[in-house]
Amino acid sequence: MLGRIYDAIDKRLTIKKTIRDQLNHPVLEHVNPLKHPRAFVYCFGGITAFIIVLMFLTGLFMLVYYIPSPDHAYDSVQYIMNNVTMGWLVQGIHFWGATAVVVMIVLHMLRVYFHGAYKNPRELNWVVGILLLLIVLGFSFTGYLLPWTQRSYWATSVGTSMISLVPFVGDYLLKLVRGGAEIGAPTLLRFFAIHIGFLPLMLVLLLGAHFFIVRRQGISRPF
Amino acid sequence: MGLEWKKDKGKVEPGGLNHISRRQFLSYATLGLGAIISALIATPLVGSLVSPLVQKKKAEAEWRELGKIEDFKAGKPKIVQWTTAKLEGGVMETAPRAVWVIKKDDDDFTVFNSRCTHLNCAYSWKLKGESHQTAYGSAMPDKDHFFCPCHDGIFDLDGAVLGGPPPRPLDTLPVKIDDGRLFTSYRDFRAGIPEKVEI
Ligand code: HEM
Ligand code: FES
Repeated sequence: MLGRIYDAIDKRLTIKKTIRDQLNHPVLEHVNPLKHPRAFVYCFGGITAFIIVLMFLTGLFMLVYYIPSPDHAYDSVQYIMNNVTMGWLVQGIHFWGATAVVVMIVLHMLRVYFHGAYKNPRELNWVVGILLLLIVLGFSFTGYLLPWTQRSYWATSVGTSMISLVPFVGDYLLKLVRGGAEIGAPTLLRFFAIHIGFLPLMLVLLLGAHFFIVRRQGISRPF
Repeated sequence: MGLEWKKDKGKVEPGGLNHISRRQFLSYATLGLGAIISALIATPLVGSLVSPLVQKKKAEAEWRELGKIEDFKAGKPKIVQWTTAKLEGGVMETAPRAVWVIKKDDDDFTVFNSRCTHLNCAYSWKLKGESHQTAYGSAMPDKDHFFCPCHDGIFDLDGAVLGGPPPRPLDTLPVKIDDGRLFTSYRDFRAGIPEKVEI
């Protein structure tokens, strides 16, 4: 049944061969942890990607209950954690995943760095990688405010006030980031929009580029 | 290319009946593991999504005062409206509530839920011959009546259906008179079915 649907689609789009080729892509011996246990370091990028998938899914499902308003944000997150069926697990995966992503990204970067894998011709992917890192840190910073706890509020208060120290334009930048002089509803909505809209879009596009480049260039040889 | 395992044959030859290629085995293993991992991830996600199905509804305050009995005139339905506060999704929110009060006598009151039994529109009291808009230009009865503007549902003073699609009479609510004051206990009922089922 599924096979016949696939065949019918393939008849029109001829994608079977491309997909077959991708699935047949050999895992080189030097990156295969089954052949060389020390090759597990090559898994760090993939593990990061896996956690990111988890973050997308858990975030998406929390979006069903989360209310981005100062009056309701805290209560709605408490509701997810205490009342929604298995909501504690969804929220917990998102919470711990946020830390795990940063840890794994750093390990991945270290792997790339110590293998010298950033060198010609892979400089471009290093640059894309740095952008990915910045986006992930952006997720962390904006996501921290969303539960609207005392800790969120004051961490964001401190974190955003740093920008006011930029010479000349600091005050303007601060207002821009906070959506006003103080942290309030505009700040929460800005951070929310960035967290669930702007950043995910950028992340998906850049991840696409990152993976495309890896496939095109192949993973670097042992040095 | 199905799995070809035969338990009785001991020998495995490439291409033989109980031969399964390494490649085939690995692709089945990958699909199988993938399915297990996906199911593990999907469980809390879907669980959270269907959570409303298992949440219990909390009863509203049992009795609600509607006014003094002399506030109502016999034979003249009066609507009483208020807002109620309820906890929904962890958030206190307000919801509009309304009931129609029909007084027959100082000790004989009927209270109707203010939602039409067809599809929950709000209906109103119309006097005989009063001109008003209708949904389908249906003929109005030759007496005072309740009229639902959504699909021309018509009820009489006792809540019985006089016309239109409503499948059952208006829903009555419990009534209590205490110390010259009228009370009701608000609740909602399923729309569109002949039976009166509380939700
Ligand atoms: C969102 C975060 C990221 C994900 C999901 C990701 C994923 C991957 C994956 C799956 C690979 C294949 C090889 C491997 O896994 O080691 C890879 C390669 C690579 N990544 Fe990342 N990466 C991320 C962030 C970064 C960062 C922050 C950098 C550096 C600044 C970076 C630089 C590179 C480079 C240069 C390669 C090619 C390595 C080689 O050919 O040996 N990536 N990435
Ligand atoms: S909702 Fe009242 S008639 Fe349809």
